[in-house]
Amino acid sequence: MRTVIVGASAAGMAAAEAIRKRDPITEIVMLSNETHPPYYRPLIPYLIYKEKTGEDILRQARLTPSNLDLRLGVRATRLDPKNHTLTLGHDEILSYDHLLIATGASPIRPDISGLDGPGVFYLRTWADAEEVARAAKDAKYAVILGAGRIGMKSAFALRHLGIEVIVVELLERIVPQQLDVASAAIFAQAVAEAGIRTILGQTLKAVNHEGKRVTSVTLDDGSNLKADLVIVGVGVRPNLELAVSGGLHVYKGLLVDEHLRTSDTHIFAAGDVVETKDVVSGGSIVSGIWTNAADMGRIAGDNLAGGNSTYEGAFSLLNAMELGGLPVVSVGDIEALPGDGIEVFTELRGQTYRKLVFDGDRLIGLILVGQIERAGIYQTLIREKANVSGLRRELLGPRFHYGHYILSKPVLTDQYVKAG
Amino acid sequence: MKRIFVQPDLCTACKTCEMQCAIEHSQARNIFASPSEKPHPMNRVFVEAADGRKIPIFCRHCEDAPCVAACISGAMFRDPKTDAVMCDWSRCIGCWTCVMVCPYGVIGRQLELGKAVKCDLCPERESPACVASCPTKALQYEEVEGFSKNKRREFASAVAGG
Repeated sequence: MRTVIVGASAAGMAAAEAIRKRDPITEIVMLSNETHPPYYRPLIPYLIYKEKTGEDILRQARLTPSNLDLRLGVRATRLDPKNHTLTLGHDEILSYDHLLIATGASPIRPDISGLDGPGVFYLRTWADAEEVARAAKDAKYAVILGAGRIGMKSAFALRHLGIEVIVVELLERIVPQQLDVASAAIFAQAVAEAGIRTILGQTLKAVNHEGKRVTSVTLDDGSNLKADLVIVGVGVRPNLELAVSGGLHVYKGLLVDEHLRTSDTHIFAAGDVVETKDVVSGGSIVSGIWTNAADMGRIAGDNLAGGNSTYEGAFSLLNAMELGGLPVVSVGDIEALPGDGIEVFTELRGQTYRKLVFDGDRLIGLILVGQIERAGIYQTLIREKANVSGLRRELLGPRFHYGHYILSKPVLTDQYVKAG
Repeated sequence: MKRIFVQPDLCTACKTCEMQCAIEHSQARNIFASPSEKPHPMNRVFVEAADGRKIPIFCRHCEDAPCVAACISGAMFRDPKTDAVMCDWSRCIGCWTCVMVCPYGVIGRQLELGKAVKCDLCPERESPACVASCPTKALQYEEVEGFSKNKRREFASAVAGG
């Protein structure tokens, strides 16, 4: 029996681990189109200002499943589900009994004049980060398109190197996927204090070159900003090429059932490539979130090895980070407006902010800034769609703890006591 | 494999476990010297109360630990010897993803260092400091034999499902 996993990041690795848990000997071939050994993708911004070396971001042996036939720098170019084969590169054929597609996602490349030229970077891979680090050596001015997580992390990294950084964002606030207006305002202050300029409500019209060098960018309103390098971070799109080549059903992403099985019985999928259900709203989403990918990998891996695990769905928002020395956790639906059963509770004290969104008896959204302790209990209540009607008062307070939850139900206390 | 068991009815919320936990994880390991240390020693067990009842809350070292699965830097791992879930500070970047996913809310933040702080079952001791110091024996450190791994998994989903 040979299981082939295409992709060696969060989903692929979690799947291999889950397979190994059930079956210590079955053959697992893992393909990565990157030449670097498996690493922690979210850490690549640290490579820009050399706070971390390549060694520091590698996946260590203790977190790598044993007995893995890992093949680096190999791209699976074609899928033939009928014959159970993959084409690697131009002509090598690899057969499989079971296949996991965990091909991930790639940066969206917006249609902006000059964006294809030299000096413009996307930060997705280890190799990308190395290129940015090289370009940053001679740079004085940098423009970053997109004030999302990647954009802001890049901004801080480049600022660290003494570069003048301007972040351009189409929406009216920074990290718009993860922050609402009030919390974005808190972070905007931290960003400004770090010496990073932000221009909101605008995008780039053009990136201007002189020979092989970027010299400036032109904004929507026609104004020009000096730039020696440009980083684009406006989101990702799933890598569907392999799935499409095999005729698997795709829509916004690779379509799967509740066991993460694709339209072919022998092929599963996990991670950023998958189109799945939003665990909060029930709607259809393609998520680019590490934690979701690891979760999907674990379920798909278990099923690949003969298990019967069900995937309950992904969070459209499930992110923690620290930016400019301030921590934030954002989970679920943070944008729902009051009315129609929705209640929104907010509390702002200096740099501490709490937002809880309720839909009837359920908690559906959370933002915590500054004080993020015990955020995981809220996250679990959201994920499990728990009825929190009896806990409303405690949830709203800053000291909500697990004791509130289990002491409210004798059966839970009993289980906690017995579980050890 | 040993785990910490709780008998809530015996807990008087004296918080000796919290204090001894912090001292055990300090440099001086001394009740007089430890409190003034930098970085500030932190406890990993939390005595909580609700409706007049008390219960110590601590890390369950979950079988499919969400903190290990979610960690974006490879800091969280399971120690093969003790089966305890540990945080490797040389890897931790203080992104707080573990804080966001821990269903028990027992991962803390060491603010001075920007590192996640959690129960390690006191690997250098025979019995964790919280258990050894509990004056009413509300905490006990025992083999889990009676509780199969399946049982623990059932528990986790039952709690989460409420």
